[in-house]
Amino acid sequence: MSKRELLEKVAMSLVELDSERLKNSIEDALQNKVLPQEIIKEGMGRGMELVGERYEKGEYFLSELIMAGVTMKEGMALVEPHLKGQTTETAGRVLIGTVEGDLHDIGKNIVATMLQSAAFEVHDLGVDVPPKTFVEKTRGLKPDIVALSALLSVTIGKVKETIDALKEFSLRENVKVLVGGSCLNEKVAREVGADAYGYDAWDGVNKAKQLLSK
Amino acid sequence: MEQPDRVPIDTSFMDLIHVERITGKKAFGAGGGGGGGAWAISPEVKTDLNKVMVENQRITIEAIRRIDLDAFAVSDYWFFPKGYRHKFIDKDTYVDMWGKVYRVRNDVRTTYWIDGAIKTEEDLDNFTPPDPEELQYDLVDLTVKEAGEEYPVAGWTHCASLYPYLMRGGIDKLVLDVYKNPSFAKRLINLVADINFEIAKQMLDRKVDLIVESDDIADKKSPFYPPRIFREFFFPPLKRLIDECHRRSVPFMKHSDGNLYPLLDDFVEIGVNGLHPIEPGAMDLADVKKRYGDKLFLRGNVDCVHILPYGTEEDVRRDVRRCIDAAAEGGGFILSDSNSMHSNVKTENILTMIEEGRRYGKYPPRHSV
Repeated sequence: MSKRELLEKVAMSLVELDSERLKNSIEDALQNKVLPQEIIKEGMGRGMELVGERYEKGEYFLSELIMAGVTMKEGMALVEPHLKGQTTETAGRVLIGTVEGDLHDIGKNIVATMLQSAAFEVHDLGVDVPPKTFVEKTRGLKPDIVALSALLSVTIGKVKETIDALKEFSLRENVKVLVGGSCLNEKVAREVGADAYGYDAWDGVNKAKQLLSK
Repeated sequence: MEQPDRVPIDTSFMDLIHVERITGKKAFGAGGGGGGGAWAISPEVKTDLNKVMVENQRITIEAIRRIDLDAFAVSDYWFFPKGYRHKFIDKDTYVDMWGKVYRVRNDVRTTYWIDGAIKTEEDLDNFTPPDPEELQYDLVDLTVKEAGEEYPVAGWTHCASLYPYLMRGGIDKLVLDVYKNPSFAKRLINLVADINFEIAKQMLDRKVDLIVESDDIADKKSPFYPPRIFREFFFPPLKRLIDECHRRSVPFMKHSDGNLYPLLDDFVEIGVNGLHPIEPGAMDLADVKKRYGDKLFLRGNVDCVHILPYGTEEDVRRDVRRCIDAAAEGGGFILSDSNSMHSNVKTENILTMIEEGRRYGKYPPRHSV
C-alpha cells in the first residue's frame, strides 16, 4: 500500500467513526514508516476536515462531530508515543472560555475539541470566567485567538465587557477575538467588538483558521 | 385546520419576575426560574415545593387573566413528592430528584443545569428515580378548575431525549453511550421515558387539553443526532406518548429549540400535530407554514433572544406582524414567544406583543384583504 493509500485509510476510518479500523490503519502506517506527524496531519487531520465538510452540508450531525473528536483522541493516544518529543506544527494558540455569569460548557467544549483536532493549541479556562481572568491569561499565555462563548442573552453584555477589558489593558491589538453561542449572531458579534462569529463548532474552527491567515 | 376569529396568543412560562410585576404580588422563590424550569429556591426555604408551585401558579393564572392571554399551562417540572425539597450540595448547588445537578445564579436570575449524577452504569443500578404515583398533581387540578370552559390547558411534559443527557452530565456523554454502549443508553432512555409517560398520563387523566413534549433535541445548525438514531432510540417512546394522547383525542405538540428541518417528516409520520417555536435564525416560519401548514399547527415565534429582551416597542410590534404575516393565514397558528418569557425579557415587551397581536391578528389576515 502506498503512503497516500495508508493515510487515506486513516482519514476514512475517522470519517466512518470506526475506532478499531483507525487503530489498525495507524499501526499499518507506522509499520510502513509513515511519519507520526504525517499520520496526524494528513491522516487524521484530513479525516476531521472531511467530517467537518459533511457536517457543514448537513450530512453529519452533532453526535457524529462529537464521536469524530472522541475517535481522533483515541488515534492521537496511539501516535503520540511515536513522536518521541518532536513537536507537531500548531495552527495557532487559542484561549477559550465561557464568559462570566454563564455556566454553559457543552458547546464550548465541543469547539475546544474541534480546534484541537484541527491542530490548534487550546487553553480552556472553563465556564463563568471573569474578564480579568481573560486579561491575565491573555497576558501570560499570549494566545493568537481569544474565543468567548455565551449562551444566555443576559450574558451578551459580559462578552462586550471582556473584549473591552482586553482593550483597556492594551492586549486587544495582539489577539483576534472569536465569539460563539446561541445568544450571538454576526450583527451582535460586530456590535460587541469581536473579529469573527462562529455559527457552529465547525464554523468556529474555520473562522479561527481564517483569522490567522489574514 | 379551521380559521378562528383571531390569532390566539399564548406565552411559554412567564418568569415569576413578570408575574410579580403584572399582579403586584410577591412570588415564592423570587423569580429567576430559568435553566430547565428549575426554580431558584434557596436552601433556607423550608416550604414543601408543591406548595410553592401551587401558590406561584395561582398568581401566574391571575397574571394571564390580567394581560389577556388565551391559555393556561402546567409543567411536569412542577410536580414533587409530598414534603420534597431539593438536596443542596452547597448553598447554591443542588441535585434534583432525577439526579440532575443545578446551580442557582442570582446575579443573572437564572438556575443553570451544570452536571448529572449518573456517571457510571453502577450509578444507574443504584439510582432511585421519582415515583409518578408519589408526585403531587394538585397544581393540575387547580389549573384545570380555574380554566373552566374559557381557557385550554397545555400540559408540558418531557419524554426521553433531554433528561438522559442531563443525568449523564452532558450531551457528549450520552452520545458516547449511544454509539459505544447502546444497551446502557437504551436502559437509561427507557427508564426516563417510562416515568415521564406515567406523569403525562396523570395530566391527561386530569383533563389537560394539549400535551406538549419539550425535550430540546437540536441546536441552530441541526438536530443533535442523525434521524436514524432518533428513530432507533428516541422516537419509539415519543410515539407511545403521542398514541396515548390521540387515544384520548388530545392533540400533541412538539417543542424543541433549534433547526428541526431534518426531522419534520418523521414528526408528521409519528403523529405530531403542532410545532413550537420554529426558532428564529434556525428555521423560517413562513417556509414551515408553506411546507407543513396543512399537517402541523405552529406556535411561536416572537424572538425572545434579541427582540423581547432588548428590542424597542416598534421592534416588538414588527416582529409580531412578521409572525402573523408568515403563519396566520387559514388558521393553525398561535402567536407566542420563541422559547419562554424568561427573566431577561422586558415585561413591557410582553404587553406590547399581546397588544399588537390583538390589533393585527384579526381574521381574515390584513395582508390578504
